[in-house]
Amino acid sequence: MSLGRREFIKAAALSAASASIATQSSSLSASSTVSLPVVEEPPKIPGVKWDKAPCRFCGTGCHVMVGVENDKVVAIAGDQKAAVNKGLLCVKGYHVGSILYGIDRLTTPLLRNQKTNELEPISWDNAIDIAAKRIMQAPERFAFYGSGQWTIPEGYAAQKFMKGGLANNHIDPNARLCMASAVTGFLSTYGVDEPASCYDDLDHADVVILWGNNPAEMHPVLFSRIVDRRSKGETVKLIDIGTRITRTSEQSDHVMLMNPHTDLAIANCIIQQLISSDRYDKEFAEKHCNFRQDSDPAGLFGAPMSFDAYVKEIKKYTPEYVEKISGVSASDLRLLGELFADPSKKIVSLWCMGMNQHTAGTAINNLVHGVHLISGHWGKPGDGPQSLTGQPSACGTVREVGTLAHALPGGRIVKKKEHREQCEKLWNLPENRINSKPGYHTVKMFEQFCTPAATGGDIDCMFVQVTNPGQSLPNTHKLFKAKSKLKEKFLIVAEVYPNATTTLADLVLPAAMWVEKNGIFGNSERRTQQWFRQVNPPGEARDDCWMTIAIAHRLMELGHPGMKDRDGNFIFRVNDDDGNEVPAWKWEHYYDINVDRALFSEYRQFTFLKHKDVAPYDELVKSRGMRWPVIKDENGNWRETRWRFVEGADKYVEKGKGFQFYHSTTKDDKAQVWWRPYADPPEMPDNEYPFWLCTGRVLEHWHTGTMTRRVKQLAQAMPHTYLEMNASDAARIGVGQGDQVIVESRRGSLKLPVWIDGRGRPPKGSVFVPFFDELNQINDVTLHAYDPFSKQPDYKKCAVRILPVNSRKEL
Amino acid sequence: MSGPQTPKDGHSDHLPQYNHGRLGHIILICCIATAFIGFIAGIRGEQKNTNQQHNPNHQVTHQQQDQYPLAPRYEMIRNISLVNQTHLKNPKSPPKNEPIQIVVGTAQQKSEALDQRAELRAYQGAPPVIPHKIDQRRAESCMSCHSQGLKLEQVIAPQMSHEYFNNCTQCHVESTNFILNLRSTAALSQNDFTGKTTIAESTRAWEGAPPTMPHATHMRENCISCHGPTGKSGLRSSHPYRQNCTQCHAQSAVLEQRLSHDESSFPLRMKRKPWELPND
Repeated sequence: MSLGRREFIKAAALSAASASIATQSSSLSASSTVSLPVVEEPPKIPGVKWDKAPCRFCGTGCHVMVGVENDKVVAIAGDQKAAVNKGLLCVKGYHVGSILYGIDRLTTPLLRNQKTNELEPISWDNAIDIAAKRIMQAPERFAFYGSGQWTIPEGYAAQKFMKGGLANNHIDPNARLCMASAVTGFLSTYGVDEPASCYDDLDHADVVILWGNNPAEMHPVLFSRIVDRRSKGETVKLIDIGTRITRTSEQSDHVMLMNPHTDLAIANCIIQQLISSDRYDKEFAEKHCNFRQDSDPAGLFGAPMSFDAYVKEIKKYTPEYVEKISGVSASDLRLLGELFADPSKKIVSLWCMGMNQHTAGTAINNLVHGVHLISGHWGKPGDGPQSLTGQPSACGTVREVGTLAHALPGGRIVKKKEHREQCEKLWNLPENRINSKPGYHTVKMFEQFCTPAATGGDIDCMFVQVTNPGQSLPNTHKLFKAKSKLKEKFLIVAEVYPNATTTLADLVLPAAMWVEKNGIFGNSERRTQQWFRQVNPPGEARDDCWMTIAIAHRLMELGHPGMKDRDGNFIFRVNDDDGNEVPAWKWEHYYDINVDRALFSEYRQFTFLKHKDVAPYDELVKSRGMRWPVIKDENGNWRETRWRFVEGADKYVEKGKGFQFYHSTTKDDKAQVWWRPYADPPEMPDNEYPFWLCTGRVLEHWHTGTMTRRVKQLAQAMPHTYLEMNASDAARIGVGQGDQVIVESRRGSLKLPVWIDGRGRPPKGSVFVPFFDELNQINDVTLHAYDPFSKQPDYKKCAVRILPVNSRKEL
Repeated sequence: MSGPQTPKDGHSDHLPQYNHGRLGHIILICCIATAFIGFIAGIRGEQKNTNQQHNPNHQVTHQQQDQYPLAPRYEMIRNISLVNQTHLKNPKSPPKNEPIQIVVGTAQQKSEALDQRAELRAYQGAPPVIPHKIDQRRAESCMSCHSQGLKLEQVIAPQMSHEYFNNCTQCHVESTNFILNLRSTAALSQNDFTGKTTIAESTRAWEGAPPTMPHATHMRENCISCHGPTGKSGLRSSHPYRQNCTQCHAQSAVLEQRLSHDESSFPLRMKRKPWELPND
């Protein structure tokens, strides 16, 4: 680094000062005064430079230090200043630098030649023009499919482009497949989304209950944060309630194997015991809880219910009754009941896909919140429910920016006139620009896209960013592959590598990824995390956010009226310090100014309504992420919030209230305890298809493996997907270790090797298949039934049969 | 007795029972057999040496794996040739009370040791992959060798370099799929990430001064792991009896993350043109 300290300060001040959004509304102009910390130039380490970034993978939100030399990432280290991971990473995190360097990175825009059906290189100008003209043909038949891996500015730009620009609400993210039920669970329980607790609870809990959760493989750093306490001499008890034995089970004190879907009955059984033994927390329940049941017709917020009616309904969920449904012994169920009846124990419930990818996902989320509320195990350090996310910014970009078909930024919804008006005002748009009708949720969006226009498929053109629906959607034959026969449909895909989605793409846009661009993520504990670009993207790969802005600008040139605000300015106008417009839609000028900072500062105005105040961009630059609401204290310091709705921890709770659910759906500062009975799932094993199929991830691979399968160390450890089966089932159908079997459902089939007593051990009658392998896609087999409220599909259970392929291998 | 009945008959104390002609034959056969075994052993030794060429991107192949003592599956025991373990017969493990030998490694040994380390790591500081089969579920089996460290001839099970964590497989994965022998059906893992095998150079203020540490100590707090008696030749300390390493060997504040590079490393990050390489 040859730059002197003075030059550095000059450059930093220049860049920090240069971002502000032009608008007539004074409330919108981002602060242009900023004090950056003065840092002594550190000693020089030849070659390698280090800077912070959040990890690219799961929702834990670890920070890594990225070592860069000659414009390439050459090393990674766990960030010791990060509160989430305290210097530790998992194997994916340690190898995250390699994801940039798979030899088949997409480096130029590609257009499918209709005659040869091959993708052929075209120029960026041409690509943006084609995309814009295609949208212009029928803006109302266009859909934007995004991601919980979108950075916050990327998601915000897409959101503004669709709902504010095109007046089209067909924008939905892959997070619909991942945590939509957690959202509806929080909304219907507390009236506002996102976990009230934080990871600090994991350091204090006496007992951690894992509801269908395998953090040893999926959130390893959080899991270590819990179990490593034992090495320090602390006692923490793990209770694993799940449908197969996992690495997490191995470290658990109690493993309760349940029949799939019966978590509903188990949660009800806990509450039933608390009430029948009169050992629930009466004070907490009376002061802070209402009771709620389904309305007719069913709605997310339901209808009121008296406590007596609730008690009458839940009465039958005795341990003996639930043992028959769930397969968990009555004595284990009593153990859970006793645990929640003990006010001296601090209990954390953890869950992720097991409860969210569930056709009764909203219901089971409600119930687990209910168990904690009625028992009073809520809102104390180490005592409360904690929902985890699978993607790095499912919370930040999807839940907070509201990139869902029904939502607007900052917890607003399109149906509410007041919310639309607020957005129109903040965006400086003409009145009634925003469409009041919710758009299509993910499954519906792809159904419409894969249905011929002639028979009612009213989505013609789709833009997919930062996700791989060709592999991650359920029942892919119906929801994705059907597109191959429909010539009138046009699929635009921004990607970093060729994958299942680009195989059907008509236009492929090469994207910059992770530290090749500026970004901001929001993790599972409300922590907003910022990083800077550290290396240049390869070839002509460019930022997703730039693509959205460039397409929007081209649409404006083509005459789309929605791309202008009330004053005739481009909706993504970004000004420099002197108020002159920076042509950010031109790539060569995109990094003249920090567009991330400009968009985030604009977005920040939206976050106050629901008391989700994100920190100013420049505060995030200095920190390893901050947990909202971030509020300035009397001394001018920005303070994060660890426990929401808790007096003393949350500034928005009024003095003397203790707990205050200030966004309560019943407007009385109370949370809702829901009556949610057990009902069978839509598909269960029968004579024809006698096995349960569960799908999920493995430690080494993240989601569809587009990134991790290109990392040598990860791909070699787990090169191929497999089928986990119980040893007695394998013996019964005559297959041994490594034998090929066909797993077949009513929707599709797949040939896989069997792994017995391997990574996980399912009980009899149940099999498990990881979904990372693009060459062996288990989502050809899964079911696309979804939760009625969240519209999130259930990847965790459907009925299959297993057919041996070969006779036993020679030993 | 008429001829050798058991291998024991070849022993010299049975000699008087044989006539000289047969004895000559037997000695000849023994010599040929010994020469043959020696030849094969020699070849194997050479093969191993070639396998250990010092290519940092070298993959741990299955052949190499075969040199480690794998327990056979029960159904294989009938047919198994125990040739895999021949080099472990009568291994010389250092007697408990023998004084620690002081070995000063050569520059070549050090370079070889570093290359061997690089084979199992994506870059300096990455957690090494595991070059052998593992128990898929429990940490106890890892600890049986890696808690104290183990050295049996060429086979080293290094002592853990960091404090005990309960979940070994969080960071360490197998170098290949040993159990099902799964292979990807496509060469998807091709990747030209080039990790740094040396993040920083160790420096000495003058000839004879203690060298500074060329790597971070986070997750490598236990110096004994590499520099102790079970470490590789070339990395071992010349003075293992000294207990307080940091007394003389200085750490790097930047590598230890005590000094942040954040603000100064990338001053042009907002103004840099995409086509420009970062200033240096």
